[in-house]
Amino acid sequence: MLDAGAKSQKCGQRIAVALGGGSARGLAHVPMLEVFDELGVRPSVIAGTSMGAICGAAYAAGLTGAEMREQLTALFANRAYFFKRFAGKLRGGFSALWSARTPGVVDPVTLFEMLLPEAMRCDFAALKIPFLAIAADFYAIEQVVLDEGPLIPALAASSALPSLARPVVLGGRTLIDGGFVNPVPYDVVLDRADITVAVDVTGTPRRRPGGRLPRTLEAVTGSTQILFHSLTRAKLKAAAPHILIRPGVGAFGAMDYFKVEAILAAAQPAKEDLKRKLSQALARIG
Amino acid sequence: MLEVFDELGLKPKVIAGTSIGAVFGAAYASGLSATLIRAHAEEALSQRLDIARQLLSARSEPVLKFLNFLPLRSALLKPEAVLEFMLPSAVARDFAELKIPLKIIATDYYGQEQAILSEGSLRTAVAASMALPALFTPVTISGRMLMDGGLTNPLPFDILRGDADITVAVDVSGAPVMPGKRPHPSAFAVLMASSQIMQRTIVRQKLMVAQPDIYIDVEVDAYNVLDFHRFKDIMAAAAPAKEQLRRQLERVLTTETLDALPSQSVPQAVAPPSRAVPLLRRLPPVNRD
Repeated sequence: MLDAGAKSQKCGQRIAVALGGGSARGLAHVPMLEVFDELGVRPSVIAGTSMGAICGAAYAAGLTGAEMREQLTALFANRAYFFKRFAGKLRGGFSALWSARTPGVVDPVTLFEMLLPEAMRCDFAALKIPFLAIAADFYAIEQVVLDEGPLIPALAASSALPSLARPVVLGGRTLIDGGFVNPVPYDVVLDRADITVAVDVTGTPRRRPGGRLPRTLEAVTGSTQILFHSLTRAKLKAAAPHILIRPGVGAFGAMDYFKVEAILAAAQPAKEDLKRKLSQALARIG
Repeated sequence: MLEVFDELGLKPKVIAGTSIGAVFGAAYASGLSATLIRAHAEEALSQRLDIARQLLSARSEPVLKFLNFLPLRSALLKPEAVLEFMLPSAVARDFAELKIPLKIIATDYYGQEQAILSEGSLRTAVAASMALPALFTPVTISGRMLMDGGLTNPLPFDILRGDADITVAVDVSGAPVMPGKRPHPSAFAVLMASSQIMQRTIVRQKLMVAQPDIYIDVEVDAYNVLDFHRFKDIMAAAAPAKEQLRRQLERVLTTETLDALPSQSVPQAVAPPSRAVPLLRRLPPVNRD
């Protein structure tokens, strides 16, 4: 990877990668990151929102796409193994995740400190590739770009999906999931590279058989996904990335983590697509 | 905001509305005066409890049943039924009967894109535009399942491009307000506010690409989406913005011309704004060929 990085830097091509939010669908980011390893190209900057921030940070910390695939597949391969490992790490018991004031809502900082690999327990400054995490300032209604300080609280803020995870307070700001202001954060790195690659893993509402109306929760989730799409569409009108990839994982649910193998398989055609487009772009510019 | 048009004797050439904007837009486009609409809304909402009771009984199901089985049911209320209570009876039934052309924005749920409704049943279209997920059942029009237009176009000034010389956009999306000194909003508050944040962000993105001639951000941040019973407070909070719109429109009209209404709409006295707040920004005009 180091040689490859040197090679791409010698050509003077800077590639920015923006990974979008999408919870379990974001597992599709892993095959996309494998493309960079396989082409021997090192991104010059990575931006991520929510699950895209977690995958992007892992890659920026030095994990390869293949290593991430291996670890995630092992972690989520079967429920029994996951919960055994999860429970084994809960030092303060499950109660460490919840607080009396907001029961039913997980503290994402505690959760990530338990689940994420050792290599990611560091500061932004220690990362091998410059990395930006996107969060939303709840009260100011604006985007916050996190790029310094401890990594894990920033990832927790970027992924703090309302109703599931508690907002994270950083530097006096109350932060929630970055998807609400920037579901696919290519625009924050657009001027920092020659080629910008954006990966959009926003879901699409699923039709119920027989033309029945969606259930209440389904309708809420589905309408949030529509808002994400509307937001991305509005952004694309202002400025577009050079390469936009939408892995075909829209039909997977936000919590389908245990379908990791199916998600990775569904993203395979998009991986080939990205590989082809990126090679072409490199040939054109290089 | 609509009162300003009556008071200045102006008749909009075309109106576009999303959600609650579609409700008021439909009433105004039917030829009702803004004063009448205000009076009706005030009266209808003061009977809020009665309305709620009627709606619940209209479902002919015990209240407890649908509270208990909330996640199992498709949604709580039929938006058409709610509309019957909200809209004055003088509001047109069909787009063809309208005095001012109206475009209503709804969201095609499966198509994940905006649907612009401008013909057929007016009430069905308004119902679709305001069908907030989880609260209302979606409305099916010609095979498309439609929901709240705010999901795709919370401030639909862009679809009026080229239709008029001056476009006025009224933004009532508001912002979440810090509840006292608590850094953590409740889980429910965050959930409700998060779609508000996204709508606000969508509007901001759209304004970066194209701007209406007059943009008014009505300062109603302190009010929640379902605070209909605080009608009078909201009206008072909107008064300064109303005054700003009047001044802004008058200024723009000195250089451009609009169809003026006959003298039937008598200007009315309006309470002056209680405080001067910079609620309105004059945005650069849209480029026109």
